[in-house]
Amino acid sequence: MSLSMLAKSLIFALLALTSGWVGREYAIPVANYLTDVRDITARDARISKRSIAYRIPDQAPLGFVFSQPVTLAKILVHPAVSEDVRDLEQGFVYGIRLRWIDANGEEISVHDTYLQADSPDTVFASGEVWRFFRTRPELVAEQDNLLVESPEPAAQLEIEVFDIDRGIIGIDVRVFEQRIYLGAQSLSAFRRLSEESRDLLTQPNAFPADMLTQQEQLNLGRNHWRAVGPLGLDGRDYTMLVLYEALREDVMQDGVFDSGGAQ
Amino acid sequence: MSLAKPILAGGAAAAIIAGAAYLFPVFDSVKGVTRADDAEFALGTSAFAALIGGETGGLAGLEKLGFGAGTLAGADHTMLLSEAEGECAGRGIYLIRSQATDKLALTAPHRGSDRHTGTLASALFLETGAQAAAWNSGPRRATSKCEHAIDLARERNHLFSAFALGFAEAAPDGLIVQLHGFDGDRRESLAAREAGIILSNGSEAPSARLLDLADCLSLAFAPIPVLVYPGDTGELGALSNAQGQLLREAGFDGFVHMEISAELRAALIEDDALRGKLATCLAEAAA
Repeated sequence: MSLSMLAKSLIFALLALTSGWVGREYAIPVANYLTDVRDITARDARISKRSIAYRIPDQAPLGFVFSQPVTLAKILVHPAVSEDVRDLEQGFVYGIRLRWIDANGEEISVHDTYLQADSPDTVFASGEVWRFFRTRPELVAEQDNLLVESPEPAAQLEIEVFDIDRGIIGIDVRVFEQRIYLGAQSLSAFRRLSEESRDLLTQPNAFPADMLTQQEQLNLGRNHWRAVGPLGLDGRDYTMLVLYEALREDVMQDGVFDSGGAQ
Repeated sequence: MSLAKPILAGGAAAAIIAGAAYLFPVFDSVKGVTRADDAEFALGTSAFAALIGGETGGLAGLEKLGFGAGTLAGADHTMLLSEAEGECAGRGIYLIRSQATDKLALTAPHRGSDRHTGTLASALFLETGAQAAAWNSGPRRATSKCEHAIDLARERNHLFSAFALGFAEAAPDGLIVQLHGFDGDRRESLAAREAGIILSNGSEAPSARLLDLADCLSLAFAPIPVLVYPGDTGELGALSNAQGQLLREAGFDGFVHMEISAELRAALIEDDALRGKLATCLAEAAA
C-alpha cells in the first residue's frame, strides 16, 4: 500500500466516522419523521396531546357558537399542506376573515387578517411541539394562536379563508371560549391542571407554580379555555380531524426542549 | 342460577339486553372465592383457547374447573359458561361465540361496582360479532350481605386471566377490551375530570392500534373528550392491571383498558345509536 493510498484510507475512514455520527444524531429522528406518521408511537415521539380540529370548507364560512355571549375568543389555526411543499423555505401565507355575530344574527364586525406559517419541516427541525395527522397524507405547518376581540358581546364567530398559497390543502381551526369562574373556583381549576399545564401558564413568571401566591394562582386559573364546536354536520359543512401534538424524543433526551411552543 | 340483576335500558336496547339479564347472579349468592393454582390456570388457558378457537374439546377442561355450559337466548352459536346454581365461587361468567365475525372480546371485571359496565358488555357482545365476553361473578368489594369479594383486574391467578390468555392464544391479532367506570369528581386533573373515555393499553407506550381506536372514538363521540394515557392524561393508566400485564408478557398487543365516565355509561345504555358508534369503532379496531 502506498503512502497516498494510506492517506486516502484515513480520510475515507474519517469521513465514514463523521457521516456515521451525523447519521446517528440526525438521520434516525428525521427518518422517523419522513416515514408514515401513522406508525408513530411513544418510541419516536412523546405524544403530548390529541385534539379535534375542524377544516374550514372552501368558499364558505364556518360558524362557531359560544355557550354565552363573549367579547374574547381564542383561535388556534394552521394550514395543512401537501407533501411536495413540506420544506418550502418561505412558508405559507393565507388570509382568514373573522365575522362576529350577535344573538339576533346581526353582524357586529368583520376583520381580515393575513397569517404566515413556517413549513412542516421547519417546525420539525425547531424541536418544539410537532403536530401531525396519523391517518391523513397532508402535513401540518406552523400553528398560530390568535386572541380575538369583539367590540360587543357576540354569540357566534364565523371564520372564512381566502388568498391561500399554492400547496395549502386546507386550513384547520380550533376555537375556544374563556371559562367563567366564580370566586375561588379558578383557584381550584388552577390546582387541578396537570403539572405541565401549570408550568406553561406560569412560564412568564419568575417563580415556579408552587411558589406563587394564592391570588396569583387564582388569576392564572382564569386563563382557562373551553373548546367550542362548529355549526353543521361533519362531512357536509366541515371535516373533523384528529390532530396530534408531540415532542421529539431525541430533543427531549438532549434536554433542550423549550415548551414555549405548546398551546 | 339465581335471580337476575335488574337491567336498565331503553328503546331497542331493552329487548336485546333483557335477553342477557339472567347472565348476572346477585352477589349475595357467592359462596366463596376460588383462585386457580398453576395446573388449573394452565388447564383453563388451554381450554378457553380451544373453545374460542372453535374446538369443542375445550369444554371438558372447563367442566373440570367447575363450569357448566348453557346457551344464551337471543345469541346464536353462543356458549354460556357459568358455575352451577348455588355453587358460585367467583370464577366468572363467560360467553363464547363459535361463528364470530370480529376478533373481539368484551370484558367487565367490575360489574356491579362500575355501574352499567356489565350490561354494556353484554349489549356490545350481542350487537357486534364479538368472539367472547367475560364478567365477574363475585363482587369487587366485600359488603355486609356478601363477605366474599375479589377484584379480578388485580388477580393474575384467576380463570378470568386464563380466559384473557386463552383469547390471545386463539386470536393473536384480536382485541380484548376491558370496560371500567370512573367518577369524574374523583379525578385529580381537569382533563380527566371532563373526559368521557380514557383509554390505555396498560403501559406508558400507547400502540398505533390503541391510537387508531382512540381516533375513531374521538371522531364518533365529539365533543365528548376521548383521552389516551399517558399523553392526554396521567390518570387511569391501568399499569398494574393483571390481565394487561399477563397479555403483554405473552407478547399480545391487543389489550384495551377503557374507562368510561358515569354520564357516558348511562347514555350508552339508553341510546342505541350512541352505543352503535362504540360498537363500530371496536369492531374496526379488532379487524
